[in-house]
Amino acid sequence: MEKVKKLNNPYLPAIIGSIILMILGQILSTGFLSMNNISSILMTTSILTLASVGQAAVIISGDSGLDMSIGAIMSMTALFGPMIAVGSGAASFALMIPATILMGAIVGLLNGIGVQVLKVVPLVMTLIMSNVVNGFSILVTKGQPSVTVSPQLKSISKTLIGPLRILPAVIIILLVLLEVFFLRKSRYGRRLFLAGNNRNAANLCGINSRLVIILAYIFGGAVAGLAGLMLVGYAGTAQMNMANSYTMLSIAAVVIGGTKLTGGKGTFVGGALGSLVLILITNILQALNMAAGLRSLIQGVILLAILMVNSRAPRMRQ
Amino acid sequence: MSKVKKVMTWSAFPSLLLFLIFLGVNGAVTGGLSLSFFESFIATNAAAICVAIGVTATILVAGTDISLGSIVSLVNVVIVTLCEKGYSVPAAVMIALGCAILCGMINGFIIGVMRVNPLLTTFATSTVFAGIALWILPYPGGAIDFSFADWYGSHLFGILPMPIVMILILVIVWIIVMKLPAGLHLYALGKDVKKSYASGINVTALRFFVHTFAGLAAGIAGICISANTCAGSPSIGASMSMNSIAAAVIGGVSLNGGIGNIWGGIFGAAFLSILISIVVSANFSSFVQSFIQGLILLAGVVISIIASDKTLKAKIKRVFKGGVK
Repeated sequence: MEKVKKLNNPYLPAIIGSIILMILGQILSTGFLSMNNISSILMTTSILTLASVGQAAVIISGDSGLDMSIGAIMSMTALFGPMIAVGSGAASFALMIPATILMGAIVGLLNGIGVQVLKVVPLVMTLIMSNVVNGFSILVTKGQPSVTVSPQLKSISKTLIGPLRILPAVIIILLVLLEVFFLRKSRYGRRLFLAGNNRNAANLCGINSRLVIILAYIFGGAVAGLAGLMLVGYAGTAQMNMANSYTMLSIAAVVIGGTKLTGGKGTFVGGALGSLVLILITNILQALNMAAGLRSLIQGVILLAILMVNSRAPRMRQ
Repeated sequence: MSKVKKVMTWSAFPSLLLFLIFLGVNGAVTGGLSLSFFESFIATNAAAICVAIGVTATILVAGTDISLGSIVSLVNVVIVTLCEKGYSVPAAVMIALGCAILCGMINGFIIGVMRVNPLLTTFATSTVFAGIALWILPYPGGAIDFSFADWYGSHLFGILPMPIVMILILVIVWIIVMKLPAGLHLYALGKDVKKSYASGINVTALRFFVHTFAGLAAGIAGICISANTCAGSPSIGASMSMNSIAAAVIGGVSLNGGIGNIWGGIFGAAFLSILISIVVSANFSSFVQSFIQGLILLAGVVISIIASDKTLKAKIKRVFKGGVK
């Protein structure tokens, strides 16, 4: 009985899904599970994972929290990050990381103020903020991004440790650290869960739930800013709105990982597993060399199937 | 006086005011308002208004629908492809409208019967619908017979422009539903799902209906946009779904459900459209345009939310009264 209970954990659908997808990929195209392909899958997964970590924090904060500006923030930092140049390449790379985090955090702060002080519904606030951020990117780059990615920035996706690239390894370690020491153990993490679960109770406990939720948006923005830098380092070039699809992908990843959109519950690791499932789906469909439209159709149908299995609301009659 | 107050507290009033103000601004920028400007404005933006009507309906029951833009693209692509295959325009339009309603029914089935979250469902179905559109017509192209555009530019009974008739069809359907018991049920469902279920409202059927109606609205929007452009593009409606949600919110429709009406959606969308046309005609450099649009959109949403927030309004009033004393 105990074992059955243990098996019934929120990660299970994502784990089973990714195993099935890996086997399916190997059957459909040989060489799918080669070290090279796995390493590139892990690479793209780790970028989506980073985005989903930010999304998860916002969703956990409750109050129908949702960050639709993650893709826009990533696109912005992917464009602006590589522009930073001071002295040597290594120094500017060292500056890029805090700068992109700061850029994302500022957008997150604006989101948080809009949601908690001006009381705009999160979906709309962050949606409009993504319009503003995209417009700002066009304004600064004059619509023609001329981004040269420095070798230091490229090296984050090229450097190898053993058979694996360095970035996924770093992200996985970072993820576990964040999960344990930020979300589970820290005072802020506990407050975040309480605020997401029951705002009134949180307020009565003397927690400034408004501040806690604003901080969640800042965290989400900051992490997305970093993810944008990773993305441009991996892609090697930057385009306008290159990361806009990451918004909905990050939400889907978080939900597949067992987090409920109502808030107060959730994990970062679940988001990582959800990201793996989503990236595997795209990867398999790309390996099959399908038309773009058919690929998007199948992707949507698979996503629908996952949602129908994974996140149905309970029956009204209880 | 009480009549004035009633109008002032109408949930769609801020958006109507914003629309009229910016219509005036547009008149000042372009040099005078004319009937022909208004007609071409409606003809261009009827699609956005129709989509906003559909989204408003889903938001009223505390849901959302972000797949409507993809349905618009699908309708456009279906009409163009069928016309190229030699179907007559009315037949192609009817088949496309049927597809749109079917798409709405799929949404309604998954959200109502399967009880999946509306935002996630319509995200997934939007990739499906956009995928089908892209599959049918991978590149923008194709043409529709110009008789379609002539029909769209014509007047019903010599007075009513066709785009307004298209919008009116949706409005009339909605008003009829509002007169039925289902109208009251819709608002109850938006306010509180559990209580409305406990009082015997058929939640599943209502959700199914609302999303089907949204599909119909997207279908009519697709017809409008196809008639206006007479060309096919698989991504013609891509930006519509998000803009329509913002339009509904500007129109005073609460995303928590149960507050607002479709007039809010209509005026919100009209305001957004006039805003875009002002920013385009004001001769800003094209790089600044989208940034300014975003900022004004943000201001519009914040203002309309503050205007509908009673406690916040009372606070502001108190501050002003204190100043007078």
